[in-house]
Amino acid sequence: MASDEVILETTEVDKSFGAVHAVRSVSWKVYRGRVNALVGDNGAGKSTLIKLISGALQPNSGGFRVHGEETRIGGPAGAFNLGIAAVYQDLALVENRDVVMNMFLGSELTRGPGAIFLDHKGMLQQAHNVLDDIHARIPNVREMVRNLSGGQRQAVAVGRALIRGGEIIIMDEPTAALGVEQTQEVLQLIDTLRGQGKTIILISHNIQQVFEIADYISVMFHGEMLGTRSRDEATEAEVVAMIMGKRSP
Amino acid sequence: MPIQQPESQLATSIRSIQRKQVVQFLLDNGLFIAFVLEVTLFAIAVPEMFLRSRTIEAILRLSGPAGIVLASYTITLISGQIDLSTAQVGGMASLMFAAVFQLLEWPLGVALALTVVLTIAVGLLSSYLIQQGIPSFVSTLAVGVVSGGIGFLIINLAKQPGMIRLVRPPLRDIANFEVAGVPFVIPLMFVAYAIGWVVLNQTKFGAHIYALGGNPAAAALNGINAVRIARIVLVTNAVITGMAGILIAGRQLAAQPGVEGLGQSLTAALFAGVALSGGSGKIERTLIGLLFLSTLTIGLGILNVSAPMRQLINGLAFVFAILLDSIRQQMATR
Amino acid sequence: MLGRLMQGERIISGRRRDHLLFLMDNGIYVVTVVLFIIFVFFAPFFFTQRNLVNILISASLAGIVTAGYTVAILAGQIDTSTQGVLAVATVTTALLFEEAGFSLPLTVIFALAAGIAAGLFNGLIVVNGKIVAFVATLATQGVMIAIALFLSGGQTITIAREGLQETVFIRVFGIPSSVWIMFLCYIVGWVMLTQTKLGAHIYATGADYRAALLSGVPVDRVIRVALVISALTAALTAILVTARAKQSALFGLAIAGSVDFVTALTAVLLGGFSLFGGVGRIERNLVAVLFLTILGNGLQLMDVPTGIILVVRGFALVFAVILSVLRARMS
Repeated sequence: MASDEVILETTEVDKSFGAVHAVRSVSWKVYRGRVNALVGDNGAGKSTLIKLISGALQPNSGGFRVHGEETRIGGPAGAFNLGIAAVYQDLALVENRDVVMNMFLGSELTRGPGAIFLDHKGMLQQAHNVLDDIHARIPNVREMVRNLSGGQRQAVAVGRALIRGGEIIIMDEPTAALGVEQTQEVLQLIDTLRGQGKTIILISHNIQQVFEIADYISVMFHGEMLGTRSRDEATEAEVVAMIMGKRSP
Repeated sequence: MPIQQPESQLATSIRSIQRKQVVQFLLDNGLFIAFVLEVTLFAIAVPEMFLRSRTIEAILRLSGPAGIVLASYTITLISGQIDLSTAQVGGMASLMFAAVFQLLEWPLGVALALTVVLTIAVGLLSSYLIQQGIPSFVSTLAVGVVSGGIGFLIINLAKQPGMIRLVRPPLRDIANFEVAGVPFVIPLMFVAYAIGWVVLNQTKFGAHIYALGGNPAAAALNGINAVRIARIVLVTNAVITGMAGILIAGRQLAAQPGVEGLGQSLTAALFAGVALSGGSGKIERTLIGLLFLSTLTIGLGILNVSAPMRQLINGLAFVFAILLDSIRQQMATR
Repeated sequence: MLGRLMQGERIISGRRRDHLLFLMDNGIYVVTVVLFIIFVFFAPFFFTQRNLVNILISASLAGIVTAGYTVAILAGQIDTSTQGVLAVATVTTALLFEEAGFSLPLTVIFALAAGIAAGLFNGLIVVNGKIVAFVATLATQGVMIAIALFLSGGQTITIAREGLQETVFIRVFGIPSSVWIMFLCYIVGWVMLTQTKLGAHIYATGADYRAALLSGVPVDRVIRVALVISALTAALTAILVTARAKQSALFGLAIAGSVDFVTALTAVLLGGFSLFGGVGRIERNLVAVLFLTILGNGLQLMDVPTGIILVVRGFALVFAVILSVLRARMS
């Protein structure tokens, strides 16, 4: 554990919505090249925390350190620039568009003067490369996303994160809506990404799955960060107890 | 292990897939078939009247200004916005132009500039309301009422009876300008379509328009500025509608509050498979939708069908178009 | 709204919010009274018995349409076909009474039946066609107007035969019948919405269609009924308008009587009913109708050009829509 390098750190990050105190002074370390799982019950504050990290929300107080440097995450674009890319639970895909256009959604390659015209060829090439890298099985990248399977969709969304230069990839419940086979596909995808040195933040409900794939397991309860365990030293019973709010010594 | 399906069940499922394919084929290509059928029917019914260059020219002339609007209207629809103010904005613009150009006798450029400013203002008002979270159909409906009122107001202020005659050259000549025997609005329409096609298919802006119409939440999460796109699209649509209104007024030699021939944009676009909910559709197809409707109008005119009957047919065409859109949506989600 | 998605929610602080809400809820009463006083001083012939009765009649006609319209909005259906129903029903009334020589009760029954048929047609397209109401009714409106033009030959039908205006537009206790009919509509509407199962279903369907569907509410039938009610009140208004004008009022109806869906929509929104589901107050609708009628009437008496009156009407709708969104955002 000591050998692992911290790539992202939140320091006393706090976020309230009106009377609801969603995230309470959370200080959390995310380790480079590892799968960092974030678990907790419904309403524990996981989603809010990752929205703060991905720039979709701004904290009331507290700060972030990325690559050891104090920084602000000003909106999704700011997060992309820091190498943070979120894969949202609903994947934020446009059903009526093809795989390539979805992967480049919002960061389309352009050519010509004023960056007006699309570089269809360049996007096609790069989409192929990225999907090959993560061993995605998508036969036709001109297929509408509407016609893809759950696992394929996940690959498209992850591909988009990679195209955005994502070093830290946040995955929100990637297997929640998937069947057994598709789930395995996504877990393999996560493993592949780790193999390529990417940092993964994985939000999940499924404790077994977390123990199967994660290197670190962090538990939130009622907006607080209760602690982080390395997978090898933690037991399922301990993590479950923490999810229920039992503080460990 | 795959479950063995009984023979009959397999046959039924194959048949249902085949039927779905047939429906899909008709949805995709029905417009072309209908257009060919329409032309054939008119050609058989009134061959000597219908199959003349004058009739074809009349169809194209009718399509010209409407087509220019339809090009931008299609882009608006794809971006997920419905503009219901087209007829009123077109009328308002033509009246504004007529009042300044014909009655005040100011230069053409000034009259055009003032009209453009007015239409930009109207487009900005629509997009402002949409930005406040009001659905586009309500926003543009309200803006349409305002624009219609402004049109009436111009007539009131000019003390004109219901319309402003527009006979001052050179506008009269411009609107009826011909290049090698072809009214120039026709090539202008094709230019508008070419630009529309390039914008939608070859530019970053076009990609964002499709994304926004298809899934606004996803577009926002990926840093696409919905407000900016809605503003550009609606303002452009208002300005182009205004210009088309002037062209129509120039051809009819009179500006009126409601512009004839601009109300069919929605029908034509839906016929052509542009989704009412936004995010999908091919701009080049809407041209066929428009030609279909223009041919219908001219053909029924040749057949001497009464005005209420023609209006009824147009009304039913609109009903049919929205039903088509609904069927398409259901096919897509199944 | 989309732009704000990213910025998180903006919360308006408690007291300011309460003040704003109070203003939005009760502002219409104040504004109506102020407007009335202004016109008493500045609009010639405004404060005469004749004109006040005129206002009352106009307001009651718009009020009847609005009553049915409110039901449709509560069921989540924005009905834009009011103009079409009015056209069909006014032509039906004039044709049957004047040209076909039907008795008055029969004429009324057939005109109302035409309204019901129009509502059923709307329901057919909305429910069976699975199309959002505002688009569906936009389309059916075109068909209805064409049918009305077809039936009337595009002509205004003048009613020379005695008995229509004299019977329909009588005064009861000195008050025009249309006012009584309007109150009756609102009473029936109130009872239906608050005391019956149908009313509960209408609220449920409008507030959350899916939840209502899953809880076994017959949503399709509810939508059909709501659209029929909306069309029925429009037809009723058409009979009264026709009787009052002694002619079919196909053309210029929007300007002259301000009985159209723009007025109804504005009034419903000013009344606090939301386009996005939610509850308003029916008496505020009435005040809003009165407000819009007084506004139109006063401006007309002040010889303000029709154009300005139309622009004002447009901005009233814009304003009502903005208010409605503000309300939705605050609650």
